Amino acid sequence: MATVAVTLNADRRIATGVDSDVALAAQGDASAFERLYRAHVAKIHSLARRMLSPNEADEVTQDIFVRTWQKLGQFRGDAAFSTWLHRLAVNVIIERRRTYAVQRERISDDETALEQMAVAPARIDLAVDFEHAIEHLPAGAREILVLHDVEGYKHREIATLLDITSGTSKRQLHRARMLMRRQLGAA
Amino acid sequence: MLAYALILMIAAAQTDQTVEVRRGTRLEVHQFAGDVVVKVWNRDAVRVEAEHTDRQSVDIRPGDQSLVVRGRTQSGPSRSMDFTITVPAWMAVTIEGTAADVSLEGVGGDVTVETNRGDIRVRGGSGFISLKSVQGSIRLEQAKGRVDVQTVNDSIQIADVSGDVTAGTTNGSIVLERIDTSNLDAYTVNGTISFDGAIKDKGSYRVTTHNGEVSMALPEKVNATLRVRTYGGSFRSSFPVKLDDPDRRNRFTLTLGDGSARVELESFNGGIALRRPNEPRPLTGRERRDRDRQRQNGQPPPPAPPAPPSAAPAPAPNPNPNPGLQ
Amino acid sequence: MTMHEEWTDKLSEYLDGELPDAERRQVTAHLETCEDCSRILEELREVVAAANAAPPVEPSRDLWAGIAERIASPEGARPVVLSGPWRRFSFSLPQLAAASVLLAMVSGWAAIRFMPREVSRPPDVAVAPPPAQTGEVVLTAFSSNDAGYDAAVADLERTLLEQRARLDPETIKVVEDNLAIIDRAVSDARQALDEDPGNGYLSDYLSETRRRKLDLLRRATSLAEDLN
Repeated sequence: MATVAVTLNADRRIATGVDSDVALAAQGDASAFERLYRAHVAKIHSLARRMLSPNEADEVTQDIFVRTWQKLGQFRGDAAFSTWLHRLAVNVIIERRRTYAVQRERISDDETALEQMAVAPARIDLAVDFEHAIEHLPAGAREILVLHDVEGYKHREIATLLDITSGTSKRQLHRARMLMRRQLGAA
Repeated sequence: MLAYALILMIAAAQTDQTVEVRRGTRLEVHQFAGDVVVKVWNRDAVRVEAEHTDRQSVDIRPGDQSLVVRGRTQSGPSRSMDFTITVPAWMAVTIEGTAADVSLEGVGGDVTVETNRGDIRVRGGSGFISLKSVQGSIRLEQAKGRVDVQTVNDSIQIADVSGDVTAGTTNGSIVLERIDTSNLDAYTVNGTISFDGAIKDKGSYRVTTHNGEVSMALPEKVNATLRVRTYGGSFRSSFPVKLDDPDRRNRFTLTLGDGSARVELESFNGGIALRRPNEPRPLTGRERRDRDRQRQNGQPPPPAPPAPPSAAPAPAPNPNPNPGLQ
Repeated sequence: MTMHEEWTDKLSEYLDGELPDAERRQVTAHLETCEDCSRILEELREVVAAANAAPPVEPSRDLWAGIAERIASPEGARPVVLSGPWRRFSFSLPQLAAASVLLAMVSGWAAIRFMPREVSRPPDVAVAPPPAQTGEVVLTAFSSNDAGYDAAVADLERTLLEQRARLDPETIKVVEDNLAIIDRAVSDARQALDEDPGNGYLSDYLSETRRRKLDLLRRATSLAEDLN
């Protein structure tokens, strides 16, 4: 199979003097991109880990950075690079959860489904830490908790990202928090 | 795997329109991402229900030959939208979407589905049935006519189907059960193929895989010339067969009855196995992995186990007044 | 929904300051008399605090090497902007059907097997016109010898490379993985044929497997072209 890697200087308007690593990486400088990677990987990896699962986090983190490299030409520099990167990461994660239907939970107002799935029997009486606690949430509720309470997105933004209404986002968030309070074994 | 059970329920469906249609009209659905569920009813009308955000809309355009339903996003990148569409049983259905899971239940006309990342589940269909995915699995049941099922990176299951059948994938298994056909072409590269169905006189049955086993159920009374070819694999049979040349166990011909049907079984690296129709088929690669993983971890069973074979073939529902498509 | 749930259901919005004034005042008043709700509110506060404070989690190993490898490979190629729509030979399905007969005769390849079979159908079943986007098919010159096959594959691969920007990385990966699977099968068959030349079965099998690869490449390129 042909292995031609094509690099094209697309029309980019990146503010010069700011984020010079971004400008360099957009022109194909892999070392500059590595510096960007190191600066942002922890945050991106955490996001992937919490939104999906610890198992997939490494692979998805790599996918996210590869996609970032591919799309750097489209970054206009009109917002902070970290915001742009974060939004791209969320998109990749959401695309991925769509593909893996086995792990996919539909966001639903079905109360019994959530209640039944949430509680891990072995941990009812233990205070567990946050990372472990969220693993037991159903995927739909977990995503919204992570996006809202960890990452700071507003309900309106979450609604757009996940194709739901703000109302559903608020209800899911509330349910996630209610389930979490049992998991965390709050006094 | 498609979850039939949960349907997205936001406060109120945001599109709910019903359009009368003339007999012979075809339904065409164009979708970027999101699920499409098609059901049937007795009316000569099409009901379109869709869940979406207020930045999206549903375009429903009646035409001479078809009713076209299209999901649109007003601004920004395309977003997903789930459809539930109820159609008359006679209606032919075409669905095209990039990341759509598609589920059709009870349809009775031509069916054409093309998707990239979606799973396809069809129960019903009569006439030309063409189901294509790239990353998704495909399951077709209770259909009749000219069947063409293609995917790339996942498995195919076809059951209770009559008519010409072509089923192809690259990285997935194929399970064919209770098939009534005179023309079969099933192929994969990485995966097992299992066939259980009628072997009709003068029929043509071709089953090919590269890495994986071919397992075929052969009834006692059958008129077929079997051509078995495996390069690195082996041949086995759960009942005695008399090979003309016992030394050639990887490439031989076997004549049964008057030999009128032509059966070609090929597996390059895997094996060829014959069984009787009442014997269970071998597990596919994925089924074996899921079982092993379950044993190792004591985890709950994997979702969506394959439908168990039923004792007797179920008759296909036939809303079409002219049966006998062959 | 119980009476009490009516109250607890509002507690998240209350905590986030998203309730309209009147409702907020009602909840505040309720909290003054309801121990259960006050406790739940505190617990919710602690959940939010835990989430706010959750520190970033570094990956357990350095992921850079994997990323570096991928961006150096064709996957790392950035979108190529072509000046105009890419034009190739494309024929409609009926033309292709006619052409494939001609092709079979010219190349000596047994294309008969792959031509649409005649199926008798009752007259009142609607015959579907092929959907618009698959009505145009690329005619790829195919012959059973190596040179023709290689040229056809190269043509499709080049097109796919150019169009790949329209496909998401996941699809690209799936297509490439599966092309590799087929390539390995082709290589198995070719090697076996080298060891046993003149073996009719192997040579047929090799042709078959190569055809699978062409089919997959065609499907992948048409996927890329369908997206606009």
